[in-house]
Amino acid sequence: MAITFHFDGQSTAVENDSGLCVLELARAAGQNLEAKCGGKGSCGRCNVLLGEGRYRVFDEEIEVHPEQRREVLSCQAHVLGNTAEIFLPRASVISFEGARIADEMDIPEHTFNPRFPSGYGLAVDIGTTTVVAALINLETGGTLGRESLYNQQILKADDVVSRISLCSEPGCLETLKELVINHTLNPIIHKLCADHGIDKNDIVHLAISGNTVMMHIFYGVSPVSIGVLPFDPVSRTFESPAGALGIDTHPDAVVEAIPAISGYVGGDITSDLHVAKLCKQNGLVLLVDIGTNGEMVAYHDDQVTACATAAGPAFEGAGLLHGARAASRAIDTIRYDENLDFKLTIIGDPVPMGLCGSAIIDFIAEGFRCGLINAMGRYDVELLKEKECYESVSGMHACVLVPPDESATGESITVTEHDIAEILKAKAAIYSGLKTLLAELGKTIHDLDRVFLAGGFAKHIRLENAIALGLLPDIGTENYEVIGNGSLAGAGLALLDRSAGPAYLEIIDRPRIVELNKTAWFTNYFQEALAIPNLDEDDFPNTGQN
Amino acid sequence: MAKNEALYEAVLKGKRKDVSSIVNELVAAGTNVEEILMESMIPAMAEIGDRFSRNEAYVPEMLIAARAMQAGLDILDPLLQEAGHEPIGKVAIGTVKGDLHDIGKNLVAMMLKGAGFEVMDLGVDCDVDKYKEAVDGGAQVILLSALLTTTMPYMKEVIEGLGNCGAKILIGGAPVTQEYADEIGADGYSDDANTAVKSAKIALGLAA
Repeated sequence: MAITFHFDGQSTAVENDSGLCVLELARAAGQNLEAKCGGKGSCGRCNVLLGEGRYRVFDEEIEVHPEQRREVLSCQAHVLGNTAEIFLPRASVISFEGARIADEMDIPEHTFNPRFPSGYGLAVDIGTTTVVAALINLETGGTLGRESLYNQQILKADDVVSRISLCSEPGCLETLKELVINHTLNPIIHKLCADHGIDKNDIVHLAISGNTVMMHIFYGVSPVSIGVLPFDPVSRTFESPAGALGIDTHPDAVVEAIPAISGYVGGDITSDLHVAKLCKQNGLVLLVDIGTNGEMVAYHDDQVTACATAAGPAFEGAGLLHGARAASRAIDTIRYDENLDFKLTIIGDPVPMGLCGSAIIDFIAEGFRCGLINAMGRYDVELLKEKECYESVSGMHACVLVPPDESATGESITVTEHDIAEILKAKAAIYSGLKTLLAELGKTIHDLDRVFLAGGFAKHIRLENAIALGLLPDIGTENYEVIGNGSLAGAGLALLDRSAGPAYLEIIDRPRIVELNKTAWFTNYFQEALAIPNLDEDDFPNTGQN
Repeated sequence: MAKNEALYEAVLKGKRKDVSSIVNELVAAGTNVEEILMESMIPAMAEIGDRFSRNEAYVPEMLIAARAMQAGLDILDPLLQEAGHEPIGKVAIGTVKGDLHDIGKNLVAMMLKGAGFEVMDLGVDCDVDKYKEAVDGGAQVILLSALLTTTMPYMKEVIEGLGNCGAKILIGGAPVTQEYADEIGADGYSDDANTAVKSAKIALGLAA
């Protein structure tokens, strides 16, 4: 007598708890389902198939007979009684395996002068999706190792705004704080200490870098004020002893946050700016951090503008029919021409289950180059059919990349026109955001001298394809510099060089925050940027039109 | 068939400059301005809306077509007023207080204009009073938009604040659902710009 969850040929049983919805029961059974909206029933990502049993779905009681399947949102379904059979589709289950660890921390040149000159320090980047930490020897300045885990808050809600709204419910702020500290950071600390044979009590200094909402939750401060105009944070700086936060290091270890610039431009960007030395460059320069929130900063002649855009999770594979996080079994690069003979590379396990953000950028850019995809993101359906790559998915035209017998799911892996439209909206948000920032400085794309790309995603994209898609400015790949995880490096610097702290405090007051929607430019730039590469063709003189 | 095939195609394909130049030519040649709007441009927007419902067009194309439609309306609007053109209804749309997102709202506004409504665009960050003014200004349907889960709760305050004002209230935006609309007592809900037009028509008894 139990509730049985079936996934990937295996089954796990749990006892019913009438207070829990099916999403929470699945979690109790060890399967974490996608719940971007935090279980509010609005994102439509946590679908499951109900088999035999009695259920309450929304306010309706239903009975499912053997051999029947009912597809429902698991966050809105409860099991009635003690037995049920529930089937988990692959698309609903979060894969925790084989995530790409941030494989580098490029700390720029600095004076070795730590605030705490003995013991160990931990540099931590708290991303909305991924948490990465580096263990540093404070006597030598050497990095012992790095470790990463998904930020376990994604079990509650995927994006920053959903997490803010969760915090307005009683007890949820504490729950989210526990998820990131007890269930994410502490396991990382245990792993690093075990791998390098050190005592956790020898860790005396932690520097934490992340967006402003993540920092509020980490320190147990409600971020709700960031959710509505004027989007003000409670504080831009935080510091606390580790013991008070529940962090498993020496209880008196100092835990300092890299200070934030504004509610939506956080300490991670402060770190990026310091690492890239953006405000010491000549000419017109731009820093772009591509993530769920695309943050960007423009600098010219002592003037700094900054903004954040809601690019959404499409570049991380979410919201695409066969999208995947950049983890094992994700297709990460694609090359092809008009013969549609797709050359794929796959992370880890060679049998693919979906494609991650870098692959979809390749796919659209190559498709535009060879004429498969037009400027509006629509397929040449005749070509797809002629090359036997056509499939119709719920009435949408789709291109088959991997046939069913070669995929991990037993279904073909496809890209639909709807998927392309999602990517076009995301890339338009980034490109129009950066173009607006330049306009606020009285400049255009043509005045741009150099672009710095930050964030893990930027390290894995083919730049020429990101430009061909119209995501990034067409200024020649030689004018780009990829700084990698600047957020982690900035945290590392705070441990290694005591002059970094004052430098951060100086940086955060420099940018003028631009509210994109309030500018005269943004809407038009956004609409122009929806096409491949852009309706304003002057912006993309070098991009190969088909 | 549209009266002017070139104009129809230009709107459909989102060719803003072509729309402006064709409309200018037609106006200069003395073509009836209502005919330009009703028999070439509105059918093009209706077609893009239908394609969207059939999964044959997606939001980027709709936005680009809407932008071209706007270019034509910028020329026609004053002339239509002079000609005493009667819209099929008067509606007001705005993003709720605390929220600055307007691209989705602008698309809905454009689709409504494209269907022949007079649209009062209240902009973003609208408080209850702003919507009240619109009702006082003759709006028969009020459309509320919110893109953030954090700002959506303000919709309830607007509905309570407007009380029995006589206007119908429709809501929409990424986090909004039919259940939420029922919960707060909205008169209707739409998930996309095309169904918003249908909901507005239904609210005014212009469609079933």
